[in-house]
Amino acid sequence: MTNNNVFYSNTTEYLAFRLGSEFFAIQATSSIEVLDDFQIIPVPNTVKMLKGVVNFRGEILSVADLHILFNKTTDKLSNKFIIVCELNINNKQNLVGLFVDQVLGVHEIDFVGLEKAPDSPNQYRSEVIKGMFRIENNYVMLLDEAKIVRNEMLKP
Amino acid sequence: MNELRQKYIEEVTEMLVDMEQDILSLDETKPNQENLQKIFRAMHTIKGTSGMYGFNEIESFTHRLENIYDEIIEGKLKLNSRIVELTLQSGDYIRSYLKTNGEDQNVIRKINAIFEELEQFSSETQQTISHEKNHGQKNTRTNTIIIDFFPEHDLFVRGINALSTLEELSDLGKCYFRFITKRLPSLNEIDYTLAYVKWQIVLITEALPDEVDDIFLFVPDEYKIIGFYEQDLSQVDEITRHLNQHSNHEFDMAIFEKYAQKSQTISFTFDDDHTAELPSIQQPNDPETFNEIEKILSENTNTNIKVSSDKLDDLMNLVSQLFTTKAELQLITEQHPEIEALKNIAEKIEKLTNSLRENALTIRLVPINEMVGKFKRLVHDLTNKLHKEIDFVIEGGDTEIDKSIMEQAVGPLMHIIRNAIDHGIEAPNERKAKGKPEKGVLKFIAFYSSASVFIQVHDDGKGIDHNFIRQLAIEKGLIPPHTALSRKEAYDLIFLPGFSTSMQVSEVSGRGFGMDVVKKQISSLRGEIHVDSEIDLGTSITLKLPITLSIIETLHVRISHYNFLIPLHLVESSFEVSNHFLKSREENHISLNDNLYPFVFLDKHFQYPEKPEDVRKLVLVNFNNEKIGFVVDSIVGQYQAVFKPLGDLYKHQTDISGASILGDGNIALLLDVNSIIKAALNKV
Repeated sequence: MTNNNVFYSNTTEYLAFRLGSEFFAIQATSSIEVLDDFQIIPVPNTVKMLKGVVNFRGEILSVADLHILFNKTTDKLSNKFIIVCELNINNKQNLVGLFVDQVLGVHEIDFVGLEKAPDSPNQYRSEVIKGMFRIENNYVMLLDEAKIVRNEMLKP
Repeated sequence: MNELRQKYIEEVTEMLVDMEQDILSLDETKPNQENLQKIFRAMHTIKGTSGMYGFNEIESFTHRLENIYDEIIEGKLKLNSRIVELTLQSGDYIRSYLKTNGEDQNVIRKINAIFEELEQFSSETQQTISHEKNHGQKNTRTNTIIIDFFPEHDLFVRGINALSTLEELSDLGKCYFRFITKRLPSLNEIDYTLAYVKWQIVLITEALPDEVDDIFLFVPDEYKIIGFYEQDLSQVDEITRHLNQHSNHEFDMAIFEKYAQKSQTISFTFDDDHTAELPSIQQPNDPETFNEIEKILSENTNTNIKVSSDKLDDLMNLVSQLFTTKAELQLITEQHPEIEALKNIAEKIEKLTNSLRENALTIRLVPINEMVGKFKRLVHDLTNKLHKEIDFVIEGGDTEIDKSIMEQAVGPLMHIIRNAIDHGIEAPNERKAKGKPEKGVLKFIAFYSSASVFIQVHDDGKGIDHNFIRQLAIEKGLIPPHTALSRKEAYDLIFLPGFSTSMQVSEVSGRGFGMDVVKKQISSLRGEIHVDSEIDLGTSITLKLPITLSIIETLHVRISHYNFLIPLHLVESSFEVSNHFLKSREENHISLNDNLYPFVFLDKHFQYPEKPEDVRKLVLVNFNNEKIGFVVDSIVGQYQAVFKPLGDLYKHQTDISGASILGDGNIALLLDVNSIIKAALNKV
């Protein structure tokens, strides 16, 4: 018991990313790959949050734009990223790409340090955020993977 | 358990389909032994598995049938049409029994009725047998078969009853058992769910080793025939003594060998610990026996493997990924012509990938023969019901097509065949009056042509008059009076909803709702359907189906900056037009070859920005006779696309039915022509 660092039981790895000026994170285990070089082909006549499809290892991968869901505007500056992850949609695992402004890397979070996110008038926000933690001076919002994309959002 | 049960039901259903085909191909007067054997075996297997899953009615029922076929094979009972009919009905009721989980009393009652009728056949047989015995007509040889039965520990867990297997064995003849307890652990170590013992059995029987094999069908790796002598060795005193010894030791094979007449035997080498390879066969002096065995062995090697379609889909996915990667490699190779070695490898990989893809595609293909059994049955039933005489001829049954396409084509084809028998082919006396042979001919022809499979159903019945169709369509208000129609156009009217050529409603083919549904289903498979007919010569209906659904011939076009694909079979023609000119047309209609067609600007339809150049291409598409022009920016050319779905997130999307990855890695979207036409026509 000389070194407290050997106990990791309460920590989980999260992949943090940026949308506009705010930081978010999903469980690292649900993400598969981060793409930085891609071409999104828009699919006509779909809901705004579906940004299009990309060629991911020869497969068609649907890309969801989290900016739309969180009411953010993407900045024109940085190189964009797609986080390829497995999301639970309607009790089915689906491979989905999340379109984000920047990927910040994997962080280990201790659940003890998890804080409740402030209430928000945005309903989607209050449902999908399960807590927040601090990395240096920034707050990072933890997302619930099962709620990021839900069936009812897909209907035009 | 449910999964196992599902599998069992699937298996039984498949076996029934095969069995039906075997039955229908039987010539009642001179039944083919091989087919009889197959029916017998199917019954035997169904009996065994049904018992395992607790479907006792089916078990006892198929047991009866099995006996009947056994007697037919042995020549004790003559096959007649009633038995054929009853066997077919049995298949139907087994199916409904399984569907209703054995809970429908009606089905059980029917099964019992068939069972009783079958009993009668069998009791008749009993008399014939005793009759024959009185005359002393016995010419079969008695054999001695020595069997090792060494079940695995998990025998009970697999739901196999070893005792009933042994009981079945003793039905074949006289059995001497040795109960070998060598493997039995001490009492406190015994797990009562496991099997520990093994048996050795000496069987004195008229049966041959393959009948023993049938009994051990469910434990194929846990038994071995270790000796087979074509004589009754129990007649030898010393052997009789040995057989009657009570012992838990194995039989002494040397004794058998000693008294067996070597020249007549095919003996199997015997290995003490049963882990040895296949029994080696000493070449017997009698070449015919040897050929027989060789035949059995070669039959066993010619097997099919059942693979779940998920695995095939995975394989197809990997192959198409490889295909795309190959295209990337080609691109890089072209950029670096200076590296000679790279070029060589790229060429090799291209060849390999191409043949791999072709190969993978053919795995999903099955011969048309697999569905023909259903049609034979239908023809058989309908001819009886309608008192017609029909020769059902099948040509090109080995033509192969994607299994899922075949499954979806069965329904439409059943409908077409039903129509042909009900409305096409006349009753025998009517045919005679017309000077035609009394027996009608219904032909089912399948063949390839480029990337399509054609299936033709042709009857030599009364035919359909195209003038009559035109008249009827006018009366029904389906087309305006005085419409001029070509022959082909007239026949196409048959596919309009609610169109019926038959004056009265018939029980078999209904009121003529149907051909429109048939057409819809065929179109959804990206297929086509055509009718041609000649009065009193007959009608032929031709289906054109793609061989596979995963590859689509498309027209590659560009709209704004994006790539789109239009299924090629829907494209009629294309024209170069000026954007300026199109915009000046009233209500988006354009006149081409004296016809007026609506058209739609796809860039506008998809809310893409308009390109500044004035030159556009108009692609005329035809979906179910709705013709409309699609205005696109440019045509790239024909493209053979590997179809990929867009995925669950896009399930509400209507204008795009899927996507494909182009050689350069870009994605092209496949247009859902039908839904665009609908959306556009509503707007126009």
